[in-house]
Amino acid sequence: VVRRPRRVDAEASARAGAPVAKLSAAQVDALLVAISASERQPQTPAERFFVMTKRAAIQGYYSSEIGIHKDLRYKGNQVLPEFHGCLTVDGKDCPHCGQKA
Amino acid sequence: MQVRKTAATGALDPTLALDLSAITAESRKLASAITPNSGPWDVIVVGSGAAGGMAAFQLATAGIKVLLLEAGRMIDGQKEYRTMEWPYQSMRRHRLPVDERPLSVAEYNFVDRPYGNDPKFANYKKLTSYAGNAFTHNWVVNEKEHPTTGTPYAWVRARVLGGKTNFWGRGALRYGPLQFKAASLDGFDVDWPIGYEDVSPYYDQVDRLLGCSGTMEGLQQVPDGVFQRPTKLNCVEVSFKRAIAKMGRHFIPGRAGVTTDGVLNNKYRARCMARGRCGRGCDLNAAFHSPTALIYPARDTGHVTVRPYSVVSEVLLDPQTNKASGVRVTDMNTREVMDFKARVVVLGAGCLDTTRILLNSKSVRYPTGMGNTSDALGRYLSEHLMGIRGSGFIPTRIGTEPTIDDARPVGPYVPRFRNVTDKHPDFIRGYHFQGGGGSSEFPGYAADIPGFGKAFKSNVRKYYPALLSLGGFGEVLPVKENRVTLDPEVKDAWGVPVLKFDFTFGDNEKKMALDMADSIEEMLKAAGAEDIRIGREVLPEGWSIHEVGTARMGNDPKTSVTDKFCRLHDVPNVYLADASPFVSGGTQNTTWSILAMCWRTMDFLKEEMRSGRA
Repeated sequence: VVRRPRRVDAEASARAGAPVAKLSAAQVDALLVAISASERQPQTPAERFFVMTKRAAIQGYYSSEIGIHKDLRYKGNQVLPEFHGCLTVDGKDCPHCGQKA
Repeated sequence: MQVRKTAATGALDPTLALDLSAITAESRKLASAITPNSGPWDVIVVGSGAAGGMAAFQLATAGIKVLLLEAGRMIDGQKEYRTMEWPYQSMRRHRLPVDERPLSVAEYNFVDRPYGNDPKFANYKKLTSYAGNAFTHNWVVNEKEHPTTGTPYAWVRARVLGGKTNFWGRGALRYGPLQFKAASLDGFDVDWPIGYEDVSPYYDQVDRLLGCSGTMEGLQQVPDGVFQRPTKLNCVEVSFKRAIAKMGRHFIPGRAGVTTDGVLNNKYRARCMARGRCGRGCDLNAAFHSPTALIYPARDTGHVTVRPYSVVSEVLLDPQTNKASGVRVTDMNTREVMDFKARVVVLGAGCLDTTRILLNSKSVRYPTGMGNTSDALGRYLSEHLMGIRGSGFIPTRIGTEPTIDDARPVGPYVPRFRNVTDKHPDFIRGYHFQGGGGSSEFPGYAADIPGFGKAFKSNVRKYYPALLSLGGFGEVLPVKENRVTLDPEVKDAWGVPVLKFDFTFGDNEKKMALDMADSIEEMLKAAGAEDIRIGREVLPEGWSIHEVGTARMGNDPKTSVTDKFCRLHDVPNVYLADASPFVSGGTQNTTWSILAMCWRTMDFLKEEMRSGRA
């Protein structure tokens, strides 16, 4: 795990002449764009590092309070008298699928 | 008990370090208090899941004295069912402790059996089946203590009061005429010795006793029941339903073994409050869990003795009478071996463990195992083929505000449509899909959304309410060659020989899988879904946890293990209460059929006992 950031640093040095910590925000962004370009089929160590880190970030972020409640605005996991299906809970027809209340 | 600390902080993780000392102490106390002299009992019931629970309930409420033997401990549902827990309440975000892990898909296929012997697992104290997670890990067995050999098989077992009913999928579907008389329809294998009309009244009674949520649809491939308030389809599902209706296919609310209206017959259960976290164990017990739905009420009659930590290794035969005299038990903790006696033995240890006990019940008269005169015991292992799946985003909900979409016990499903009225050129029998859509707590599709940062998160939000995904369950043909035997060398931690699997999916299943994938794609396209993804990889054998058939029923003792009342042809006072006598598995989840068939078998047994024949 420790060696992989080094490889990303190597990639950063090759592309921008400095390790990640010393890059500007724009340079980091450019580096991420480069190593994420083939994320469906990662080849280089830096590309594989991106995929692995992204997965871990997804797992961590979307299981956090911020990820679940603030970002996604997930509304389930609460006590309800009944599950109403689509948006007919307020007595109106569903605006999306048109299901009658 | 050992306190688990997280490596990073040294702090206690309250969600992984449940204090089970009280329930463990109670279990040990019960086990040591109940000895072979504590009886007498009329009937010994082995196992406490859907089968054992229903058997004990039926017998006890008829005044019959029952000894219920469970291999694991008692359960403290109020503590162990962590229904509402958010992932951020867990320091490890609901991942298992560092010294435990479940087997992965690839490992099932590529690690030699027994799985637990692989050196890569040496540092893990507990290696579980894939079903092990933060909520179930105290219930599912350790593969290191419970090995299997032979071909790959993802065998999920739970040793705790209630067994797998503590975390089952709640799919409560009936078999119908297409299952019971399948052979008459397509000429393959044999019919069940009974028909839907024999079991239908028992399904009705199970629905009434336990509560079943569903809608009346009038479909012969999955008969209607006595339903409580159904769950509804959410928005994307309504769109999908309309789209496939044009193809003559149905998308109906899932049928759940959950009481949505409440049951008046049981003080341990409340009605469903639409929280949607049932697979962790429902702490309202609205979901059917054997302990609260069956075993505690049975125990309240005063006629049931529950002995935990009781590993049954064999059924004992009295050679003089050719009847079972009882069972041999090894205490899980003390390892003391005891013989418990009764007039009748009911095995409900789960299809494969029941079969294992019978194969291990060797005697001069039955050298290859009790019930195995036909050589059918252990054969015809069947389950459901899984893994074929598909997903896409339904356009009407892309970019909309999320709604409550998952507040229900099961998602909707597409009942079988192949070989119902038509005849498919490539395969016989059929499959159904279960799934659903809308926003669920964790956006599983996020890893497939490209990019990073703000744009990435914005896209995850955009598609969050729109996902629709389905997974298939295909009937696996029961064939003689798909079987389990006792491994001649390998034993489990209690000295009982383990099962050796010889099981693979056949040609019919493979052709069916191809059609399943095409069908999902076709339906998602019809619904106008975006970014359709089709999974065409079949999951490892055993994945469905719907194993059936290894002690099949039939009228001819030469070709079947039990008669039509699930009673051994060989030994007339041994009854099978689980799915082991099922002749074929259909596409339906098995639990509701186990409950109905068990009730029927127990009604027969009660009458046999009342009349003095048993």
